[in-house]
Amino acid sequence: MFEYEFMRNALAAVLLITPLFGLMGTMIVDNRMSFFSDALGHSAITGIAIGVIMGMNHTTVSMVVFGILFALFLNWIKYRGKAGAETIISVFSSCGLAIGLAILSVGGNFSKYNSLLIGDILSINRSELAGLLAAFVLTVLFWLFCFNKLHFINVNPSLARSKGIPVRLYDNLFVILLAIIVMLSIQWVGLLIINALLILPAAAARNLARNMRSYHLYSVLIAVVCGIAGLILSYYTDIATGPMIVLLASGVFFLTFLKRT
Amino acid sequence: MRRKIKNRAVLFLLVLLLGTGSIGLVGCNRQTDTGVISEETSDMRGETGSLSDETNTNIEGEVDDISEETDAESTGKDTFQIVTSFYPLYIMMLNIADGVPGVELRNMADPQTGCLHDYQLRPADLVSIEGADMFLANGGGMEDFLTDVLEAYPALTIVYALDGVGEDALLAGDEHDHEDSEDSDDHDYDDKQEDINPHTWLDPAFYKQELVYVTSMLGKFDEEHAELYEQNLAGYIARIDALTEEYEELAAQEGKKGCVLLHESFAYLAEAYGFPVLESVDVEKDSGFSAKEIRMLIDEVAEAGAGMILSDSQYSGRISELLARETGMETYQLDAGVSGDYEKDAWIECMRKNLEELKNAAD
Repeated sequence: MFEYEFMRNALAAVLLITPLFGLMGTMIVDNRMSFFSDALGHSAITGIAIGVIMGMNHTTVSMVVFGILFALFLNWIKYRGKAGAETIISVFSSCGLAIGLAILSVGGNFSKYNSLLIGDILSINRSELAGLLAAFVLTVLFWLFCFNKLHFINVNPSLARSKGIPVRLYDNLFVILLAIIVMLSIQWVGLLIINALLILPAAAARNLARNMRSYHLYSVLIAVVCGIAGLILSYYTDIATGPMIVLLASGVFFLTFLKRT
Repeated sequence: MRRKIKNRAVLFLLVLLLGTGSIGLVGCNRQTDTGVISEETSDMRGETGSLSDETNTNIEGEVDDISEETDAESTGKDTFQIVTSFYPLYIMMLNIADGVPGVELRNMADPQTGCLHDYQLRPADLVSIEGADMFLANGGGMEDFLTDVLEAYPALTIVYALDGVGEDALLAGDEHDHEDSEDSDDHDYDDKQEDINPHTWLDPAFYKQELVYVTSMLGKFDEEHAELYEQNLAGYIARIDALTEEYEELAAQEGKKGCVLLHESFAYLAEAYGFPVLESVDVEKDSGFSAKEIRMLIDEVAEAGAGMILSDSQYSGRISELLARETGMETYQLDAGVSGDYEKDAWIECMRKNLEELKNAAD
């Protein structure tokens, strides 16, 4: 199976993306930010549309820039509004999607961007893997240096503030990182299922874990195992790779859910 | 209590008002509708021919009738409106109808659509069809997106470009898994759309035959300007001939590699200029593949034998690159001529570009 180069590349991509998603997912699930990451994914299409309008060859740049601004904006709104943050996020998520679709459909050529919806992990090439590697290194470094503080903020924001931790700064850093990861991987994973990949491994791990360390370990493990198994299964079946991985992750979630109840 | 009753009364009045308002609006609409219809019918009565006779397939038998009708119609609007279904036909018309007074030319599917089979009609398209004196379509299943619409306009004059090409000369096509193949209209080609390859505009010789046919049809429907159309045709064909000569040089070249087509549209070009077609695989999407599908594609291309890959430049090219990486074949991108700007020379430029690419491929 791995005599084909596309399978080797896809495997490398899975090995880079899934642990990232496993890590980020724990924080997203704990922070109740699943809606937030979903909105980010949807806004990717506006990022691409803006890039297309500006005549960029590589729309990744416009996607990442737009994603970061969008994430900071959402965060700002979240802090301003007292209640109903999820409603506001949902509004912006729909807006982001609609603006993108509207711009891209002007010429009626939306079919060109189908790959953004479903993902394209099988056609990734070596140079594109480098981008994912950069995101991987960035995330691991961020986790090493900032996780404790993020977790503290997560548990009790007021206490963290009183201990002199710049809460808003860390929160913003986290969403910026999230935006970068989502935008860099959305082309490979697909807008429709990226959030499932972010949330499911962490949600399943939460059912099993007894402490923070095992929570992270399980989340990363579930993500990686489902990723590899999904790729291999897609090699023997006619099911597209992305949905296959998500199906497996969902299965794991339901199993862990049973164990918990 | 009194307040409650008052509130209810206000609510009731409001509902009543809205109700009568909407009924009034609907009534208005109906009135204007019937107004238009009665105008139309009176118009039709005033005409010499009967519109109901004008069915799309019997054009040739009733040429005189129709031209009278179109004349009668055009006395109202002074223009001869031609609507084309998609880009190559629009470019064809731009050349034939260039500078002809009173011709109004419109195109339906925007030339950025990508695969025409994915096209979704917009309201503006129906407006165009409504006022058309002649609708130029390709035929052979290209206009799947129009099947239902054309049924709704039985009086529309349709010319199929493919009718200009002898049916026997057409290549067999790959099967398309597009849905509407069952409920096609009663045109000959639609019954056989599974069997023929409709991308004839990519072969200069067939393109010329279609040009001649379409021009003759135009001359029949718009007799007044028939000569102008003929003049334009002669000029355009002269330019095509110049290009074809260069293509002939390519055909004469020996020892060309075989090719694997990622889209059936290039079968005509490859066939006409001596590139043996090893295999034609229909890759009509950029994503959503399973690894198994990709593996089968790779195997299929590799088994086809040593050669090169010809892919369609309207797709992202990721799949052709992947196939090239895996099989070690070179890949060349050709333009199917279905996207670009609305310019008269678009077809010639597209075919010149293809010629350059094929020359590179042949060396």
